[in-house]
Amino acid sequence: MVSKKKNETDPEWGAPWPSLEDRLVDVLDANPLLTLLLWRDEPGRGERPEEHLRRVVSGHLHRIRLGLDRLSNQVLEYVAFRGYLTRTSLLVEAASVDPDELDLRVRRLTTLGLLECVAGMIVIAEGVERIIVAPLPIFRQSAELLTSDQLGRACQLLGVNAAARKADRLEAVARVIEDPVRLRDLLTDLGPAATVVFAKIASRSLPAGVDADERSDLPSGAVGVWDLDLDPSLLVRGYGSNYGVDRRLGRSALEDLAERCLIGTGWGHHTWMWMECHVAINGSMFASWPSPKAPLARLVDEPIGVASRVVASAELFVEQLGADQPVGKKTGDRLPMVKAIKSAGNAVGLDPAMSALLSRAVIHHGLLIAVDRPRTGRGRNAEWPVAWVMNPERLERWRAWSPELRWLSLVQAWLVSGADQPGRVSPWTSRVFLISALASLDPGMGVPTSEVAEWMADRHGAGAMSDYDEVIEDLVRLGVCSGGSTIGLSRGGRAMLGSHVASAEVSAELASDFLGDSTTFVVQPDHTIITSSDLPPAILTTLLLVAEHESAGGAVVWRLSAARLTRASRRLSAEEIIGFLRDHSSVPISDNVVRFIDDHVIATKVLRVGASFSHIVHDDLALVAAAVAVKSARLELLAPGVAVSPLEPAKLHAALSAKGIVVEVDGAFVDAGDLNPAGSRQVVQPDSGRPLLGPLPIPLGPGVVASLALLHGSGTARTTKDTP
Amino acid sequence: MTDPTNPLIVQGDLSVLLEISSPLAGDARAALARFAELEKAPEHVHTYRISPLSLWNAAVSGLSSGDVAMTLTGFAKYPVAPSVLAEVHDQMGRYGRLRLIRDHDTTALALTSAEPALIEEVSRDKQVGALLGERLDGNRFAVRVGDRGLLKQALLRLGWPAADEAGYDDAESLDPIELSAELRSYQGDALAAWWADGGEAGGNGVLVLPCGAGKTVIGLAAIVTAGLHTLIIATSISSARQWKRELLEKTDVDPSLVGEYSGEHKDIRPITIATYQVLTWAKRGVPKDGDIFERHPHLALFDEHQWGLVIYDEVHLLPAPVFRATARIQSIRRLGLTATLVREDGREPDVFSLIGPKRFDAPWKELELLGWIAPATCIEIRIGLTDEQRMRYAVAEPEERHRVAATAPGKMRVIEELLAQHRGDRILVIGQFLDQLDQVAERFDAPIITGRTPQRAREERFDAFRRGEIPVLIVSKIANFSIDLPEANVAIQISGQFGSRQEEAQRLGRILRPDGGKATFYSLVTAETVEQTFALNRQRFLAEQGYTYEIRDA
Repeated sequence: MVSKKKNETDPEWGAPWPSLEDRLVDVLDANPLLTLLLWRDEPGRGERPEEHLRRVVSGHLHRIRLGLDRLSNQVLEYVAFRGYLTRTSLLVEAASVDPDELDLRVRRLTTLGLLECVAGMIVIAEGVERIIVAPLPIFRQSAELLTSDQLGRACQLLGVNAAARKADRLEAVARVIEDPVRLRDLLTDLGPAATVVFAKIASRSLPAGVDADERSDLPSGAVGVWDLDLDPSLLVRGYGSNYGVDRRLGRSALEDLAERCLIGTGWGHHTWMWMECHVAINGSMFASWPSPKAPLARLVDEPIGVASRVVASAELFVEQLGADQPVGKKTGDRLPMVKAIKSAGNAVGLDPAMSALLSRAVIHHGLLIAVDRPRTGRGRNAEWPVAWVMNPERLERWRAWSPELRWLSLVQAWLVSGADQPGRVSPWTSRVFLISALASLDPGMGVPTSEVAEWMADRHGAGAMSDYDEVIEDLVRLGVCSGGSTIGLSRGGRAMLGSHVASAEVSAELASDFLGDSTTFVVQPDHTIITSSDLPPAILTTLLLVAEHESAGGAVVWRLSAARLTRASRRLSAEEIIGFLRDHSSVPISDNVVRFIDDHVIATKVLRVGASFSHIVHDDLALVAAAVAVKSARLELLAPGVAVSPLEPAKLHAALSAKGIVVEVDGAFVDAGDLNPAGSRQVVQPDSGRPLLGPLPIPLGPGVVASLALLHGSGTARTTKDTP
Repeated sequence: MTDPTNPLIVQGDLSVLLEISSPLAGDARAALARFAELEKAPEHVHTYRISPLSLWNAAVSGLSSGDVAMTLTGFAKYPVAPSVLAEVHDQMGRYGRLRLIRDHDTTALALTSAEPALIEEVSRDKQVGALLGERLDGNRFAVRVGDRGLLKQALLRLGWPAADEAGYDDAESLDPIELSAELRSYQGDALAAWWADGGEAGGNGVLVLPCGAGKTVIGLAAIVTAGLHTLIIATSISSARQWKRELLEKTDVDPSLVGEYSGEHKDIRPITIATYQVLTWAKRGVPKDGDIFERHPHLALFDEHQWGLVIYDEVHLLPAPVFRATARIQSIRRLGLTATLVREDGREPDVFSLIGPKRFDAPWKELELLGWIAPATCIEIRIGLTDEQRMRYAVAEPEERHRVAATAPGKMRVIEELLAQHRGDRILVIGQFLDQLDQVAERFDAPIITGRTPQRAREERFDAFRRGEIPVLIVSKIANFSIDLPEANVAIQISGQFGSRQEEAQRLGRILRPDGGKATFYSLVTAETVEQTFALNRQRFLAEQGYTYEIRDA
């Protein structure tokens, strides 16, 4: 038995070990979830820093494990299987891995308290076994799955003495299945059918480091033994056709193997290979040991003006959604319907993904709230619809923030948004992983996008089963990262990371990306507008309404768009748009540009839609004809200039708007002030009465790691609970 | 390096903005034009585009990626994104790593590379592999002479353009002829860039010059310089005869040496002028995917004579069968002439592979400033509809609306006013709908030329217009291309395919002649109809080209 005398600086493991502060920097750098957890968790009264660390780790073992890199996970699993380990045996087992890397993993796991180093050997710390899911069930640890009688029968069939105690029987069988020679002889004795069935089960082993709950994410062809159906009609039929084994023989072989405990059966219709057998056959627990290596860092392009555009877009988007007042049909909706979000986004020129992202953010901050509409139906058919309306007060407070804080608030809302999906790592986790990984690179550097998935799998083995493409797209969309073939944090993306203590500097850093002193641009006769990259959101908001973004780099190129001008006519007159362009243009605006705006704003025909049985009316017969041509509006020409539709006004409005026809609706919509926020039964939303707190930096990155390590290493650990 | 007063702004999508108000704009433009295509040139900021083709063109001209990076960063107003420089380096590094050479031992063609891995990689491509012959050694494959062009096309598609160093076959020489016209400086530069001292590196490629800049004269100079039997391919019979007229007027060539190969004559002489139409004439009963020379028998013209030079006029219009025939004649010198490299069918890479890289590009604005072509003003005149006409338009079927709008009766009054206003000028009235053109011709008693007009009558009317005997000529779209009417200084477009940039450029090109002084291009547009929507395309296109564009109400 291993001595319980702990020694964290045993020369066997690469002594002398660095100071606690240095080791903390290392583990925090490697595990961003731990960084966030430590940041959030206040040390108890009189609690020493290392006690605080151990408490946080033991309280969040599953999360900590998700953050471990692939090699650490494998070391942990190996120790769990072996029970204890010497450095020498680990170096032999993982001969392909650099010994320094192995020492580093052992040091990290020990610092975290997941392993204990005792007299030159390492063992699993108490309570940690429960988070370790071995790639295959371990026979010696599965006594509860087997009865004493089963073990006794197995002993008898295996030709070993059946002891009286269950533990001894277990030990006796284990010795047999751990012995490669005896195992091979046994299979030979059982006949060819048993060998084939055993080989088939052996070939279906789970890849190392995969949590049993994540099997749904496994690529096809990597189906684990857990999924093998014991039903002989299925299992044996497969062997019968594929392996030339008679079905009856196959069934009999399966029973022979199970009786001798050479395979495990149970948990309903499942059969599996014991880890001990797997090691006996393959000589090793893992097919290979990962050799961690980071992708080659490359220079990244700085995204230009994206963050400012995000802020301006959010403002326009919430106004648009507020004006549309989409109705939630079902109780319990967290968001307006996707269609309504897309439609509002389309109206302000956002793509559906950006619209979805911003919709979550504005609802997260309570800028858009759901209010009760009158109940419809009775009894079981009763519904409590809600309408999503703008919360003007809250929007005003949000607008009062500086642009960089508004951007930060949107990024933070995105970071925590997105529902968990069963069997998948939460979106929040993968976002945190990727941001912290990118933060570990030098400023201005990134990694090839195509190598991100592999890199993340190396960095966070168990937690990396996620779609990083989506995360990357969102990060680029928000301006946190550069786009293209290389992904890296933008200046803003780097500046948003930090401790709250440094929030003033972070804010200043962010502000430098937002508050350029440029307020002028060039309006060209070909309808393009060339702006500097640091145009403030206040100007961008109007620009977004009337022009489409074309390209970015040193400058940003926009193009006045007929569709946008037509839509903008709901908010701005032609004079206002021309005035805005004249105010900011450094060159005279050519006549054809003015005419272009006039053509699409002044001349925009506005149809009026009435309530109940909807109708449209306009003097312009051609315009009415164009509206009638919109099939989804289901309009019928009633008289010259008048058409009617069986649709509700809101639906008619939506159908016509979708085709670019500008429509006004006569007083059918609700005001936020008229109605109360919907009760929790209908909509899960933030309390609109709660104050809108200014966002703080995101506690990730080297700065936070260093300050946490310093505080813990010096024994003066202090964190804060007012982090968002 | 970067300086806020510098004129270049390099965008992440490889477009480059040039601020023309900067004192360094001229220098930057000259440097930039060597590796980027001018995309648009509105009043204040011009846009250039860097593409793989433009970079390969630059590499052919001897530019290195370092030179390009130096220009971009040296003239940049803001830091240049690393990915842009990486792309430049990557693309330029691709040109010339594969070379088509003439094998010294066998005098046959061979594809070679100093990198065995690269030649192995391309040889494994299905299309390229099929065009390669036996492996001569570790880094050489034999190539059949007839596959030279196809192989270059296939390699370009793979992103590995080959440097064609295989040279030309011997051809029959012309007796010395002289050019009587004096070349303008830019014309001389263009010719020199194409000819490259007569070496194997030159003698192929495309010269890009605006309408009215004298492309035909450069073509004549190329014939004189090469001194070889020449095949000229023009867009139409009128254009072919114009070439013949110029050839006889501006050189001392014996008329008996010049032949016409058209629908009317099949006369092959040392200098033969053919048309795209006759070459692409398709024999009935031969399927489209059949043998190209069986389906288009006149393509045999390329092989029937030992040509030393082929001139492709308006190369952006080169039809697909001529491309295929050209792929077989890569050992003949080739010259492409065009006002724009933009092809509506996106076959610019084929022009690069088969005709050759762009050798010279003269922006029209520069030529206008130098007084070589006429400054032009574009004026859109909007004409309203009466209530009755508007209702007719509203109830028309969508496909009829364009015609209803384009032939609005209100245009007649405006044409009358414009003709009165421009009395003494030479005016072309250009339209798309024949009945409308007939009405205009009848109303104003002006001669008309359409596709129905016999060739002889066309020639007579064009000549009469050139001589000033008739001040107004009504023309259909047949006048879009290659009709040299240097006296015309006013065009009134009464209808057209308003979505087409090419048509717009060509129609405007009819009046961009130095002899005409200031040119005015009117477009009559019916307000609040599809015509106005189409006119937006034109407005944008012309503004992008840097023309002054006014909009007036009738």
